[in-house]
Amino acid sequence: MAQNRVLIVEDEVSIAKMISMNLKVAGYDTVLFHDGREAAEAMEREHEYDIALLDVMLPGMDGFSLFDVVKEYEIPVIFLTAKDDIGSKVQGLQGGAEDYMVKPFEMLELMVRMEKVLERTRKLDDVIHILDLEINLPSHTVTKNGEEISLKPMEFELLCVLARNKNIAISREDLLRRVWGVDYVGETRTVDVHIGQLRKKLSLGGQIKTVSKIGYRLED
Amino acid sequence: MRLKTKIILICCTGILASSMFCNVSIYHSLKRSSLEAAEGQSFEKASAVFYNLQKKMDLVKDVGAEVDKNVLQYLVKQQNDDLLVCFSENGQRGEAAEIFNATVFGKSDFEALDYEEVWESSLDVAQMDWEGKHFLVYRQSEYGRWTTYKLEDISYVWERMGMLGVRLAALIFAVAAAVCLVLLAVLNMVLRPLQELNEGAKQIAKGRYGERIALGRRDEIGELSENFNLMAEAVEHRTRRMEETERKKTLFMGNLTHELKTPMTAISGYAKTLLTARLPEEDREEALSYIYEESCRLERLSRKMMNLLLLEENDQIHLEKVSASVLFHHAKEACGSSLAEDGIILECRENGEAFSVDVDLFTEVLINLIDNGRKASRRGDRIILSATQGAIEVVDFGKGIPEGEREKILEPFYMIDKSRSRKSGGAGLGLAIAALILERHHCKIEIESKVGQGTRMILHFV
Repeated sequence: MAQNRVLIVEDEVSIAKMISMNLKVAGYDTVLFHDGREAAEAMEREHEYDIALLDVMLPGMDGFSLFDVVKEYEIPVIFLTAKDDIGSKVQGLQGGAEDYMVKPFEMLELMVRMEKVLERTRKLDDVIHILDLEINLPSHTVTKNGEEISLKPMEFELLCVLARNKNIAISREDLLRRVWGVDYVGETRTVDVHIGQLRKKLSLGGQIKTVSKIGYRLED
Repeated sequence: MRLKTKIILICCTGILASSMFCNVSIYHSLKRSSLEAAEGQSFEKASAVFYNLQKKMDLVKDVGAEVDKNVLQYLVKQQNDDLLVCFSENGQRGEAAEIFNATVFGKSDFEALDYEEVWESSLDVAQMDWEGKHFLVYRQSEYGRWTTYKLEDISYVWERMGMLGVRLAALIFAVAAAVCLVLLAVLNMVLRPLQELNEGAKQIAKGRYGERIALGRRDEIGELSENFNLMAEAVEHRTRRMEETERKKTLFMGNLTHELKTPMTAISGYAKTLLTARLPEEDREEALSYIYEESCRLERLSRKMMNLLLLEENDQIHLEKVSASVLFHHAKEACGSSLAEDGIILECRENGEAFSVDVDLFTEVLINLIDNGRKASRRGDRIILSATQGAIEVVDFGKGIPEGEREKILEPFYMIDKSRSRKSGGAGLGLAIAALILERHHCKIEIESKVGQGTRMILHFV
């Protein structure tokens, strides 16, 4: 599976590293910059990115100016910033940014938004390969070692979410919200039942881990 | 009631009452004197009439005739005086016809009067009022059986006095009105500055503390306005200071929140990552080290905050005479390891100068200044700590401070290069703490700096 390349420009090294760590385990390839000008200069040589995460307050060159550079290469942008005033939000979104996240943010939320952006820009693969599984999104089919396994719709959706965020634990509440939707009034028991089905049907007993107090994680 | 109305009312009442009293007494004495004059006049007239009559009667007697009823009547008539009346003494009732001159009065009218003798004369006099007129009646009863009465009209006295009374009353009211008007004008003039003061006070009460009152008077009101201005100034000054303190506090809180937010975000983010993501071993270690570093930063921040708070609370410092060598020794000891790590040399220059300082606090100042210099310096640079008479200098040869930022660096959380300062472990509080301690020592800090050449911080002891 082709990895999506992510450009991260954030002056706080610790925050940039943290984003990178999370994205890497989930299967993204990341490139870090801590200075706006450096990032802009590097873009001239190398600009094969699927998505860019830009901080607004940057040394060297601020995020909005950097955005103008990034736009030229048609790279979708999500702004990350502590500036939560309406003015910069509007400026960012009017300029053509895909999304806007105010720090501090939840890593999982950032990943969901990135996924949505990648989906919109058709940079997400239709087929996910994980372990010995091949998940075909358009046809809603899963094959294990070339052999098709039938899954109920919700089981399929759940598998997709876990696969897209592989190696990262997702809480039962988040799974419920993302798979069944915000309107679904159900118990987290539902999630447990479906996880059990997935483990059984795909024989992923060891790969779908229960992380205590957190939730479930699909490891590759 | 307004002050103006009060004063006018009181004054008018006073003027009215006193002028009323004066006028009434004047009126009475005038009346008495003019009555007396009228009495004298009428007495003379009456005497003349009686004298004339007497002479004529004497003439009659000289001729040898007897003055009888007819003669008398004739004589009286001849006088051609409506107000001369003669009555027969023993005239019986019904003999009222024996009036020798026709008047509207009967004999009884005259006899009912209360006569008194006119001094040094043979005449008696009495007062008679009739139909709003006032008469004096003179009586002479010498001619045997006849009594002669002479009436004198003195109504004109009353008429005049009545007119006088009306005039006096008019005068009183005119004076009172005039006084009122004058008083009103004077009061307006006197009270205008008070009104201006009042307006000024209102403006200040509304929050326009810059308002001042310019009266330019040298009297009590001028003094009051001056004091009022002083008060307004004090209020303005205090308010400005409070607003300034409030603004600084808000700024401080905002900065503090920001300084807390970044490490907190990192700590919670890495913790969450460790909990949820299946990280390779080296990433796990890195995450943990970030958590540790950021919590150290928080701890440093909180320790410095505590220092700052304690400094702000206790304004007592313990001053003692300390030699520069002792101070420099303390500072060098504290900074030694970090300086050695960065490869920076600290030079101390002193010639036995001594300063009156709080040793612990002042050492803290030196440490902060040296630390500041260290962060600006490159490996191999020198930092010079030197003492002169009344001043201590800390000189570095590092990056220097840009022109516009020299005042700001003493403010809490101000950092010229945020990312670099954080990397070197700064929270932006060191110089703020130093400035506060120096303030306690009444010590002035002077900053000379050139970008790219270095910074010279001079602490002047006053």
